[in-house]
Amino acid sequence: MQNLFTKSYREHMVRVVFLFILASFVFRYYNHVLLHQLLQPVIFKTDSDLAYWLYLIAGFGKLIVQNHAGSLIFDSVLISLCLTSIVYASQRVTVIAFSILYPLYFLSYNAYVTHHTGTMNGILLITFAFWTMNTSTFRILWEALRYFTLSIYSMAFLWKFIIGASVFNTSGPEAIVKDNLALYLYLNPDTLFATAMYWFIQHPLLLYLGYGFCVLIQASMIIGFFTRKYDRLLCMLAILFHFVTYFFVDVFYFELLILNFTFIRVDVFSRFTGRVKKSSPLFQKAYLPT
Amino acid sequence: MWFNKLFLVQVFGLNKKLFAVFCAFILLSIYVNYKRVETTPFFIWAMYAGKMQPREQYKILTVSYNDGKVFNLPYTFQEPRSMMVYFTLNHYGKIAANNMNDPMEQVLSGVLPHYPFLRPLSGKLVSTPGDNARYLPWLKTYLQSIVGEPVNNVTVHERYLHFDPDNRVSEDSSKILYFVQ
Repeated sequence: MQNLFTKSYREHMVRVVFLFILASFVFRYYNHVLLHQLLQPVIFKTDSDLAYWLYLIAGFGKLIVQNHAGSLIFDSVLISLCLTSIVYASQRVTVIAFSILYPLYFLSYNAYVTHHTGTMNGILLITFAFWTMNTSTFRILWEALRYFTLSIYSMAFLWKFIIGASVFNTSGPEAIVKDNLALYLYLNPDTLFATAMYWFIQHPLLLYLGYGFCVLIQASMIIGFFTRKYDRLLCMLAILFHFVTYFFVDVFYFELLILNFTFIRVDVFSRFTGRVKKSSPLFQKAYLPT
Repeated sequence: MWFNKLFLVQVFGLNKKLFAVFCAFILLSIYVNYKRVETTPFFIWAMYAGKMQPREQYKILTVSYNDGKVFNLPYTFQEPRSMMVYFTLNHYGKIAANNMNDPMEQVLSGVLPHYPFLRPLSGKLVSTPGDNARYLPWLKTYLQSIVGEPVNNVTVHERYLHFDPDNRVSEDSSKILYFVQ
């Protein structure tokens, strides 16, 4: 079988993935949660997660979060590595350095926000696929990431359907919406969105159907373990899922969508980049020699 | 044969080291899900998998500054900074309810007898009472950076709400939880 995972494809993917990560940093800068913007927070939460234990025992919290100079240097290095990886996509030194440093940002934010969020889990893992220059190893890692993406939604489905069995609890979705939106509705009772939410809360059956639809989206990801034929659809469904939870559950999980790049077929992506190059000579010139 | 088309079987043929890494990752992910103890990067994707019921009353915390200006982040895309305020406030509430000691100390007291080598390191896993006492002044500084104006004082209210029969939110009671000057 022809290996379509060429060096040029790897470079394109490095650029696309790191551009997404750069957008994530811009989003986090806007939200005042880059480490130097946290202004040396003092309380943190580790739970029983051993990664957080190691992080704190090694003293990273004191070095890059509770120390202003340390946090500033860390943020600058991390973003510089991201930018360098976009510009010089054919090498792997900055990619490897980024993959090693990003977990420190991940652990820092989650520990000091005192909640272990899952939105950055995709960024945490995806860059490891670029550690290799060998195209067949890259193909294996990229496909493994695709299976990891499928497993996220499939596991979420299994938890709701079998382990927690929350999907059979008809009043659950109403409880989730009320729990998550109580503060918003108290502070913003007269907005259009609040009016829409009041209407939905008055129709808990609709909320339950919506919840059921979301669980169905998660279940549909299991198909991806058996065939790649529906990857485009699964990619769209994942986006739709996060849009729905954005409005009804008040969670912003779009950073996790970085893993959706693993759903894009190599031939489709290569055709797209070829077309962009042909139709836009300016874009072509913007590419640095590799 | 269908068996040879399986991803892991193909990986075994191409790269034994990666095969071992993937198997370890899968087994550890199953193990943490079984034990229900998440350890990064072996995640548990169980958000909203528990059976929740609508409650009679909802407790919320609201933050205001400079004698009454309401701190309000109405958009979900402002979630990271909103969490930095409200989630830390909730965690601080647990610390305050525990005589200004990190609740993690109780977790560690159950773990340390089994792993005595962790005892000298355990101090690094909990925030100290001194750190905890500096939380509210930090909150004031952080809030100032978010709202982009000088903040002279911060008030945190604890409010109890209920949903009316027409499902609008009504306040039952409130009290000032913290005031920082």
